[in-house]
Amino acid sequence: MEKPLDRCLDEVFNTPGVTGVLCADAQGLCLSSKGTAHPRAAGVITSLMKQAAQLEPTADNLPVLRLESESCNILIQGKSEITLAVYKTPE
Amino acid sequence: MGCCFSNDDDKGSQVGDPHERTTLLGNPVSNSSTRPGCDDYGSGMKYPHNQRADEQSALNRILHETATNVIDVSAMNSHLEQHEYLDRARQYNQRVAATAQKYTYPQKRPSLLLDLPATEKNLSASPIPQKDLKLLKSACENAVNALQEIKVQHQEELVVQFGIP
Repeated sequence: MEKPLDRCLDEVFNTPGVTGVLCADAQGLCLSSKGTAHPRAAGVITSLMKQAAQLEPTADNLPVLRLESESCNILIQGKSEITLAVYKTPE
Repeated sequence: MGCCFSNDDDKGSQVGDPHERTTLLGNPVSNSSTRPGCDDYGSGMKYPHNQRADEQSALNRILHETATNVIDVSAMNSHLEQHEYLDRARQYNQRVAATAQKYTYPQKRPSLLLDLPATEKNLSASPIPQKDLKLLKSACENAVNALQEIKVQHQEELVVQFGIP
């Protein structure tokens, strides 16, 4: 049933440098997660994306967020009803 | 002024208490020693010359008073040695510090970026690489498409008949 989504996240997860992937719906429900991405973070990630989108309400596309830390970079992108977070090791 | 026609009144105004005829600047002519023909009542023909002399003496007096009131700093003996400069600078700094201790300034509210030790390093960091943006964009599109493909697959009958042999 959710195999296509899992397959999609697996492709991203197998990209070099990626340590985790998470996909959440508009309500912050974790649809799928891989690697270091914890399903509990789905709500926070969705909320961050909604807050960031309010900075430019008239923009056509949702913004791309990048959270930086010493051990991990988190890239967050929203599209239609989903929010995707990609955990990467810092370069 | 009326120095040529009313000397008595003029003297009274300079000596006595001030009244409505007392001049603010005083009468420079009456104070000056060189008054050509001022005491002479019939010297009206010399009035323009006297007036010019009066103005000149008044200007001279004003200039003299101004010169006495101005403090010429450049002429003062204000030569300071190097160590005197340093001593004075230290003394002024101590006094300023002592005065500043009396006042307590309100603490600033904590900044959002307070936990970043090197803010300029983060602010000057390179933007998100294009390959990461491409990865995100393609992954999002694929995920949206994958979500639309999610369908409920029934594997057994939803209506189960009970008790039917």
